[in-house]
Amino acid sequence: MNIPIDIPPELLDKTLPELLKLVALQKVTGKILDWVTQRIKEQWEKKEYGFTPEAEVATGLQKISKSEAYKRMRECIGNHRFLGLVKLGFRAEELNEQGNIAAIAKIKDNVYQKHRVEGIRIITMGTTGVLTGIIQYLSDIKIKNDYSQAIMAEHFESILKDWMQITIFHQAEHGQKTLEKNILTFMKTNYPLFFVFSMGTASEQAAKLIAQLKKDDIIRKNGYTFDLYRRKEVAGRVMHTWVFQNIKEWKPFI
Amino acid sequence: MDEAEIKFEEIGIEEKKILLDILGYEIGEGGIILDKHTKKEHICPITESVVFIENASVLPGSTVVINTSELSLAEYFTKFVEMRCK
Repeated sequence: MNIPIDIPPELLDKTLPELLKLVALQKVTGKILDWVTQRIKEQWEKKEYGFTPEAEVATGLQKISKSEAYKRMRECIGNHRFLGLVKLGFRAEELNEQGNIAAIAKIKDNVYQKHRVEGIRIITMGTTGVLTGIIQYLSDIKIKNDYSQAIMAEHFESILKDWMQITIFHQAEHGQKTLEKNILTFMKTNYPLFFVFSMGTASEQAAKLIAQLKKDDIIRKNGYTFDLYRRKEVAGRVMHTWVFQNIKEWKPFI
Repeated sequence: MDEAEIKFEEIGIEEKKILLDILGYEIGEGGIILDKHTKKEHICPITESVVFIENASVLPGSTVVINTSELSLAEYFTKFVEMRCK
């Protein structure tokens, strides 16, 4: 862009928001206004700024979209219609850690209107802290088996669809016996895939029980194998995700 | 290729009107955003509904004018930033 001789030098260093403010306050007129308008166009085309009433939210979402966990999920399922929701699931996870229940409720309301219960399940994966474990699992099986993004997307959809039937959220007060009964019931029913989630002292309980089931060869005898994924939360607690797969029944495209 | 960092800022309604005007939009009755040339209502590419100036986000990726919510911003990144930079 040519700089006319009469452009005040201090205008040359103005940022896009500063230039917009100058025009809004009618601080520039005539040829200088024309120059500023052209400068705004040029600055905009650099794609360095975004203007939104929710600047803090947008900045947070941008950070999530650059996070390793999110990138792994994008690599797993490609340009899937639920990818934006995964990002929002991580946002809900952060809000939950901050105790911002009102913001989570607003997100859920918005998500339900467009994506119904499947969308809400992804947000809940975030608020319950299990989203990272699910992504670790998906990424793991994709790499091990060289599955395509289409297969992985279908598998993720099937997990969402069956979510309520294939998840055990173990808490310490449930006791080890209840967890054992639940895991055995899942295995006897031949579920192709199910998850056990726990945190803190409940994890110690679950880890001991699952180690014992493994030692007694109960898991293998029932036709299952399992993987464990750990994830440290901001508060220092560790979320454990056990993924049980039926060796015969499980396929990623169930 | 990784995405470039976008600086997000909140600006006043007047500044937003000026930017939209420069980018080919105008403000109609009740603050509804219109295409300056066709005079038709601008439709948000994410929510698929009209956009009012107060709730509009004006975002890069050519120019994307959307209704603002956490969901629409999340989908904006997916549709207009990440896929462009893959």
